[in-house]
Amino acid sequence: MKPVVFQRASTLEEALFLLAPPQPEATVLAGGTDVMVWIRSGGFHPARVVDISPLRAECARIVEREGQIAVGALCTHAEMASSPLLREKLPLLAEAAASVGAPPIRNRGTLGGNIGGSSPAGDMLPVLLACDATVVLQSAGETRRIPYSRYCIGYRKTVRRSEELITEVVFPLPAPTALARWYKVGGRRAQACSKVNLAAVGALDRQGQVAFLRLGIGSCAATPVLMENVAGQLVGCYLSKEAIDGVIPAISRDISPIDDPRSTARYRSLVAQNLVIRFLEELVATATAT
Amino acid sequence: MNIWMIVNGERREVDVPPMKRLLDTLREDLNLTGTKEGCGEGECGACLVLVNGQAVNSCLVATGQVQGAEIWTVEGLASSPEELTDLQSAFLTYGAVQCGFCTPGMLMTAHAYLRHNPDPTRDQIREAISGNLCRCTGYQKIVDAIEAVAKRRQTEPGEAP
Repeated sequence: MKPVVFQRASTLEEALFLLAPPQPEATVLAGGTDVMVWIRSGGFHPARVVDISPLRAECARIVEREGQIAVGALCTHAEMASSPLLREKLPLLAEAAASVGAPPIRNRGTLGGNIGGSSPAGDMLPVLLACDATVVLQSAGETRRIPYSRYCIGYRKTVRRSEELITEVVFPLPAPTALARWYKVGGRRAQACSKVNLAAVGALDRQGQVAFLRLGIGSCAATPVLMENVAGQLVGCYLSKEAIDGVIPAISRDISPIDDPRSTARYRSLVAQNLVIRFLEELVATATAT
Repeated sequence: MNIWMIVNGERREVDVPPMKRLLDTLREDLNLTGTKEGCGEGECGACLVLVNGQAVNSCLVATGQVQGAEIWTVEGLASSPEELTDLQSAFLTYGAVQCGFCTPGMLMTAHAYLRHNPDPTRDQIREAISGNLCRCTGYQKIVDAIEAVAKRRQTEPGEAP
């Protein structure tokens, strides 16, 4: 087998040059929590690897900018989990990041890597959907901004072109009245790949009707899913017991779970229903309490 | 590719394929076989070392990525085989070592964690070692050992390495 060409980019500009045509397609390496495992499992033989880990000075910041939070793609899960800015303004993302793997994985795995791989079980991805986050893709020639809801278009298939690098993710700040929750169901607390995960953001208006509702769910289809049928049915409605029970068919229309080594389709459907209903009930309870 | 790094305080140079796992470079090229391979996919923590102060699984790091980095392995803990650190001694005293395969990773995790949080609760210790699997001890004795070291360092400041 031919040796892998390994190139270490020291700046963003250099990374974009190394990814640009006419150079052959390269695998981008950052924390290695996916790529190194794929290579070891024997099914993946990249011809060329571009290491972007030295780009941290440019691509690992977490800043507030014009009412939005921008998170650099090289931010690790540990950095997101402990960021004071995220814990104050976007605790949903910090909480989801803290639930990933275990400390050594969180010290290496990055937000950009979670998006680049776009596993249906990726724990950051339902949060991106629930927050309506936008992925920033840079190449030598242009910058594209794609909402994550249009980013992942099939099983581990994304709209990223081989010359593009994920540099940043931009999160609009949720309304102060919104309730945001992260639920992860796995085989154990640490080092668990999710059987089902759900990021939920929603709010009721002053009359008690659903003002908005965004539910991102993972491990329940070939891609992470924004639950549009559920939102379509409930926005503008009162969350009566009947309305909440009546949402179960919409949940089934939003997801298409399968049996795999981690879980079964039947279990996932039931957990998805329970988690969505739990969130809706929390939404009602929180509104009633205030 | 020629790669240099500071390993356990000494500058070392190796000539290895850049995608060679840091785990293999440590074991095969630097003869530091204290670092173990368990799962090879970042699940078990047996290969845990410190890279620039951070606890990482060396099976998930390409050697080309650690050019110029500071690396600590279990061999760097004790100044000599006769002079163990307080943490190593506590692992022996509390029976935190049975087959010993997870021990180097556990020690490196605990070593790094106690610097970050010198006075942890038992729950925090459990969370800190959640990336290190042990199939023998049931974890109690490992948590006991780490807790005892933290408590002793609180009462006897200046003892910490």
